[in-house]
Amino acid sequence: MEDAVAPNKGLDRIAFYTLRSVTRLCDGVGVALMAAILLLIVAAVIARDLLGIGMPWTEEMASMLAIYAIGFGSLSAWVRSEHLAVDLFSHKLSGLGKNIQYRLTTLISCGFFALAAWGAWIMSDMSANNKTVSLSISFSYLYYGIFFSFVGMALIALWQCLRGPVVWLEVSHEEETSQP
Amino acid sequence: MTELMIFVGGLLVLMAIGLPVVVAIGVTSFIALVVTGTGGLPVELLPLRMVQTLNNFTLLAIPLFILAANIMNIGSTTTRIFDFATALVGFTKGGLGHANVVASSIFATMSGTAVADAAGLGSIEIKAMKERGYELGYSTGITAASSVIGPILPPSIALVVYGWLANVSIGGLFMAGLVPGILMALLLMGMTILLSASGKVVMPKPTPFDACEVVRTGKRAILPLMMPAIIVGGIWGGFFTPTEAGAIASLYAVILGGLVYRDLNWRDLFNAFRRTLMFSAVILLIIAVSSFYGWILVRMGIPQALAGQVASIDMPTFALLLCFALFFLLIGCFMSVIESILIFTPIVVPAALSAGLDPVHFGIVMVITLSVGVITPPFGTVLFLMVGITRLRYGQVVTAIIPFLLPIIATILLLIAVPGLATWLPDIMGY
Repeated sequence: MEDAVAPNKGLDRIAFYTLRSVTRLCDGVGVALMAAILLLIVAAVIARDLLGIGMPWTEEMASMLAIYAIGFGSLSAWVRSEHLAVDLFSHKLSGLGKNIQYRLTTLISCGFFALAAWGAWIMSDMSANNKTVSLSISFSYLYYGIFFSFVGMALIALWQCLRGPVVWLEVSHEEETSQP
Repeated sequence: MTELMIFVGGLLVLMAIGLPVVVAIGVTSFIALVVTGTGGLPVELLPLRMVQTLNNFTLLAIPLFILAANIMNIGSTTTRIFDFATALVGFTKGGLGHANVVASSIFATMSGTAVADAAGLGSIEIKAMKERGYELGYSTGITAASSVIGPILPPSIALVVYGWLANVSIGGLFMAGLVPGILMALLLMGMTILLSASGKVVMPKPTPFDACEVVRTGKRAILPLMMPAIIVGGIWGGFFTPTEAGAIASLYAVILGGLVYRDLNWRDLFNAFRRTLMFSAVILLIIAVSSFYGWILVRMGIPQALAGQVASIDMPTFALLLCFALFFLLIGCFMSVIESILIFTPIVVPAALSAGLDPVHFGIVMVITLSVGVITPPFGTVLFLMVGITRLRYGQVVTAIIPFLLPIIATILLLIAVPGLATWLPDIMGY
């Protein structure tokens, strides 16, 4: 996506720049969260094994940050079309067939994400008084992480369903092959 | 059984029409909930299960080990490992083939996935073998096959997921993977000797053994080589949990690349973190949604029914495990290792346990057989990587891999016949 060329005009151009900004923001925040998780866990090991100080709250904090990191990462991966899919026959379809398949799968995805987001919203409301053990943080905050991710993916999937396949969603070959 | 067919069949159909795996699993779960429920769609159950799953410290091992592998793949770490392996075993006939297997085994003890090995070491190994005059087909075959060792030796991401789902000690599974992983490496090296002796593959003349070169490359690789000792020793010695081992491994990789070798800059580090974020988010989201799928399976009584049926089959455990292995080999051709583990562990583990199989032994067999799928058509991830690296045609890559499937299948058969290969080490280490 970094190397992709912006569409000339219209809604696609606005979407291109909006999604590029959203993706960069998600990448930045996600990477910061990952780094924080790494530092928290390393600090806990050093404090426990070398200094003899227990930091049990770090596990809770790291898990919580991970939920947000997964949320941001999933959203970014959705924009880049990096979510795993099994390509059984789409490469054999004609242009029209591919278009129909694309719109059908994005429509179903949009519906699923919308339902999941709705469920996360309900749970965030129901869990307001349910708190974590060490830090006493409301579970609502955990559901918010999932909620924002699903809402974001539902909106993008809806856009994809309405506009069809667009070039800026393609991932560069280098990125594809460097995944572990 | 009909419900199981609808449940698994529906999922496969949704995946076949091109839906992302996470959406296919989620939609199947919702459909099952509506069909078997008492009316309405309790959508809040999905996020409830997801948060219960993701709010789990053990699963953090997955992004942390992937991060360690991504950082190690930048800079000179992989080259240092391969150079050392070449100096160590490169003097034999087919020496670089052996070096390829040894380097992959060493890298496997740091990365935990086959694709990390093939993507990181693969291009270095194939380039070196090409320069020394090895046939490209042979180089491709051995590189792809040796990457299968990745998900077996600790710290295997697949074993972390299996251990978490089947409620089996992840430390114990790590130890259980050691002997089968080493056995597979030895059998792959044996195949190289066979191919060389039969004259079916023309191997260049080996270079003479040079002890000074072993010492010199050993010195260059000593710090990366310490990582497996830190991971396995730390977990076994009780200094840290598998998740903490992932964090320590990542930090160690950052220190090696950034401060010691100075071939890791801030941009590379950011990209390594970004790739890790993306890949981990995709995998962990599937894991979270799969936990909902697994919960519905249990609610419908499918694993319990299947366990009852399997327990009633009058068949030796060896034959039963062989049937499971054949099933996983077939499934592995179409689905990734992690997806298959997520979907099938809740279904088959209760059945395997009711039939008297050991969960550690069963887990190792399951992970190895599913891992073969990364090098088998039609969807083997490593196959596509090899096409990208070598520029060979897909069919040529598949043909090149065929001889190396024999040692891998032999490892699986030996493992099924001799459970001690997997259970001996965890037993003596007190897991």
